[in-house]
Amino acid sequence: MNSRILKNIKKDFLIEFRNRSAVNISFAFAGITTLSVSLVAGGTPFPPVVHAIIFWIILFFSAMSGLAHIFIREEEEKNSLFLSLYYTPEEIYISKLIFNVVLFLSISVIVTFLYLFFLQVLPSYKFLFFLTVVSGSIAIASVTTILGAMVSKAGSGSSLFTVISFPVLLPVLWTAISLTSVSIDGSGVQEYRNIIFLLAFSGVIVSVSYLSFKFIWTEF
Amino acid sequence: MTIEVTAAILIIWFGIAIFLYRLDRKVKKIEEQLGEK
Amino acid sequence: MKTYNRILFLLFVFIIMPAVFMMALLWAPPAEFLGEASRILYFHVPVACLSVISFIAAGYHSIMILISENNIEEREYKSYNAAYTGIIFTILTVVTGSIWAKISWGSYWNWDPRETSIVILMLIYISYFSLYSALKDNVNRTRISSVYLLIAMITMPFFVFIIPRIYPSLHPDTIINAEKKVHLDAAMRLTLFASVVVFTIFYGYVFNLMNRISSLELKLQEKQNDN
Repeated sequence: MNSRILKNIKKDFLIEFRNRSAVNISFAFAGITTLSVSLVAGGTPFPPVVHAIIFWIILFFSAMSGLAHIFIREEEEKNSLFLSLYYTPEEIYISKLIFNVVLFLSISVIVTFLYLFFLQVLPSYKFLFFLTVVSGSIAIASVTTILGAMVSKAGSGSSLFTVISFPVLLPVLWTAISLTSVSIDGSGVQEYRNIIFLLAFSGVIVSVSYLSFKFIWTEF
Repeated sequence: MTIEVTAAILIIWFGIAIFLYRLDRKVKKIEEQLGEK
Repeated sequence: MKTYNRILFLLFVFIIMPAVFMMALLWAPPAEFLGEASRILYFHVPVACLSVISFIAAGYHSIMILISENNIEEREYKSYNAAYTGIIFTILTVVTGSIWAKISWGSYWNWDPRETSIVILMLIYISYFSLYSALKDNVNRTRISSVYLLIAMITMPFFVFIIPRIYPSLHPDTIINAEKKVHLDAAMRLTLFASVVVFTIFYGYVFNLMNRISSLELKLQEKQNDN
């Protein structure tokens, strides 16, 4: 089973490299937003909370624009039936999940660098900041995988995806924003247990989605 | 003040109760009709 | 349900409930700090409990839809109705809570962690309804929306029970608290308990009524399809 999953992931990566639509859209969005914010703000120092909010808004909307593609592309190219013939739903889910996580982690790394560079922010608690970005990205990617699968079956496009993912992602955003603002300005207690909350949230979502993916994917 | 609030709540409550009661009777009637057929 | 039992049940609901209201509003002693306004407690707590209960019911019916193949249509409308009543009770919780906030702390909305998590919960269930209506022409609508309800039900304990206990909050001590005791006067405790019980019975009645209406709609539709 593992080799099949790896083959599936490799296929997704190859398609993504050739086509590059999802990655391009996310990067374009992130780049545009960061540049506009930095352009307009000039050198004005923002309070750390504002930095945290803008950073996570950029990440959230990059996710919304980029991550739904993975399933919508399958539906558009009518590959979903072929996939379900060859792979079991659990394998499809794991491969899509790993693909989404890797994709979004790379997007968020680049967004982080862009943001830190253009807005000249240097976080005081570097390790906490790094952990926040990583665990927040993993949480966002796991939620968007399962919700993207559901929305792709609905066929009404990405606005439904944004509407549905937003409430479920709100606690992730809330926790991540407060952690990021603490790590940027260096005041307040370093609360590593919020990182554990983010990871636990991802874990719960991934386990529930793993168990129920076959109900979404296979059509009776 | 409490007396006015109580009166208001009781009146609203009886309105809801009468609405639900009439709805219940209509539903019961339709159920019996469908049950016959 | 036999007609006699049903009438008895209706009478119970429609007479006992106003009696409990009067008990809540007139008989129970006012609390020390808030005075007469503390009586909103007897409305706020039951609707909050009931919203959690109806979301758990919606999640339960969704799980049963996914697991077993029989009774799917019945469970589908049951989960839909449970989510519907859950939303209504959540909205009522937010409204009564903000009235209480206005009286106690002076402003209607404070972005307190507990308030915020209830709003997030409400948004999750509202997006359930958007998903449900967007999937209108899809064959798989039942199962996809059941999975969504399942995810929503799993994240619900995070919101209702865990987050308000992590962050410091203005909300007064809840019933499920660290010392496992209810910090209330005996008469108030009795009224609160009676209020919760009565609201639960009322909820059961409304849920039952909605289910009956939905099953009738289903039967009528089948008859139309047959003709």
